[in-house]
Amino acid sequence: MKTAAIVSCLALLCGCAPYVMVGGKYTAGPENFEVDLPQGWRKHELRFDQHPASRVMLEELNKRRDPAGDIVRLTRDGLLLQQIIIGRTGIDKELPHTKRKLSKGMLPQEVAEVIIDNIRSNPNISNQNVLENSPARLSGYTGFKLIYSYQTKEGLRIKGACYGAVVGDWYYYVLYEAPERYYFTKDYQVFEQVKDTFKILKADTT
Amino acid sequence: MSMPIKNRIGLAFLILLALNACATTSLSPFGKEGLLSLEEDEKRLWIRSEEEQKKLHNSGYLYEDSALLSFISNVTERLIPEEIKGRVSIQTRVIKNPHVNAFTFPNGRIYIHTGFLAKMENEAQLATVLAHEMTHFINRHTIQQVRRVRGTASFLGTLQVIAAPAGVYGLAPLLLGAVGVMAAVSGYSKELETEADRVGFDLLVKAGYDPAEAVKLIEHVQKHAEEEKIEEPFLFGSHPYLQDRKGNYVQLLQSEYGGKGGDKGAERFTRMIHPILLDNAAMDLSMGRFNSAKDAIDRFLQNEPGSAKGHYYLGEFHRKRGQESDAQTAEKLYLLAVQHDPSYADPHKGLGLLYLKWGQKEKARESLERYLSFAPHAEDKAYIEQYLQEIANR
Repeated sequence: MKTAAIVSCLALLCGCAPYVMVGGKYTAGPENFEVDLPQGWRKHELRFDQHPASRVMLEELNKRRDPAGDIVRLTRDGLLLQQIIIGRTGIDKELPHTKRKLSKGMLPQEVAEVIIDNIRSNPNISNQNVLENSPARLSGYTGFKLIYSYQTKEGLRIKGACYGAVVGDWYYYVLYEAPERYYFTKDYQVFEQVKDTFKILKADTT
Repeated sequence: MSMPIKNRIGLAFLILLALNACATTSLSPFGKEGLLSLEEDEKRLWIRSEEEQKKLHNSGYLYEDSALLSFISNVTERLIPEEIKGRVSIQTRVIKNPHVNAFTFPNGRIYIHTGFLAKMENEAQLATVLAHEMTHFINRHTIQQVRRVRGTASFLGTLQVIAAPAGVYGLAPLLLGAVGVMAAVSGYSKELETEADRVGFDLLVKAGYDPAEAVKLIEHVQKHAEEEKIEEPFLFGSHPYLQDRKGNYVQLLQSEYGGKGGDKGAERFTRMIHPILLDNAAMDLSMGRFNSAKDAIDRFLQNEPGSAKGHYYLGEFHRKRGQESDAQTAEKLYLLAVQHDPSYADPHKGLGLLYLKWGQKEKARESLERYLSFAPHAEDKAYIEQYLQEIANR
């Protein structure tokens, strides 16, 4: 509580807000990628978001999917309404819900199977459906594309799209989630454009 | 817009409570002194159960195999006590779910998961579970449980802590309501469960089954859960629940049923359960429950050593587990599967994927093309075509 208050005060003093307007090239050097962020969208800064209401919302979102590898989280109207997420996770790291593991040299279809099982095994959501599982390229690397849907504990149906690929020792992903009704379709093209600009900087970053 | 499952469960419990006009919690079992009629609140509970069952039956999660259902129906029939035989309807259905569980609705509809059947070794073990579940129906445990907890703080507390399993193999896809949740997850009071053990044990022995198999089943399920570090989300797979059942069964065996032998029905059971083993193993493999899958595949191959499908799934087990030398073992098993049935598509894919990883382009191309020729409409056709394209481009 004390830490949260201090961070909030510091954030205010520094002029740091939990959301920052974005647009244009974004480079995440340590995480080995760059991407063009869409105009008019906001990047969520987790470390500056100490508001109790935000905490509740983030806890809810984190139950739907593990945010451990997330590096960029974007939204236009609010995280509950749509979010584009870019991230990567080490392939030696266990995924939160599935007992299956990623490994170097896995074929895209095999990686997709593990990611699907991780979604299907999540006990916090239900009625998971994989609507599309197909080969795709991410930053020129062979990978997969998933379209899926699920239901939250509150009964809201969420639809998601995920491009993923294992490159070197990392699993990279560009993901989009929004309520199935209205919101998913609304910003899907923006997500596709973001995905098209996503570029892994070096092939092997082991 | 559909109501969230948590709200539906809560609402259904409140309805159950509101329906509850009678104060008596102790009820005579069906058949005692000719009793077969229902009390008013019980009738409503049955109607509620039928509604839940309709949803369950439309969920696509029922395992429809007429030979297996007929076999389970015969075991169920054999256990029904004489005084109610032909006068009540007790039916058992199978749910496609790799988790260990079985549960009963108050109207005598018993459901058992494929994951539980796959862990059993014989008919006596199946009969143990059916007899226990059947007792919940005959002795009217659901309505007793509902009346017992009516209006108590502890009941509301129980509602709060029910961890209804979600996920693809959880409760939500089965669309179970309050009655189903109570039967499948929260269970009955310790006293009623003990009664189900005792009366069920008696039904088991009267039907001529070997009661020693009851303890073996519980030990087998416990061992499996410990070995694979599985936390089963349902009642019948949970450690404290199993421990209680084991304690009661051991006590019954050591006292009034000591020395009783009986029918195990291992051969009959093995024959009937055969198709479930691979179907359930496929679910276990997709969830990374490798030991459980391997156990079922081994049992399948023991009974059908020349099965191409059995060898393919054993190959899949090795390829997906991915430990040292697993890939080489997988190759041998896929080749064996092809030997048993050259036109079976899946092992060709398995081989193609292995060769692709090993950089053996020509062999990969041959195997993957063969896979597509035998399965031209395969779900993963796009992936295979992409692999073939990459091979051609290299």
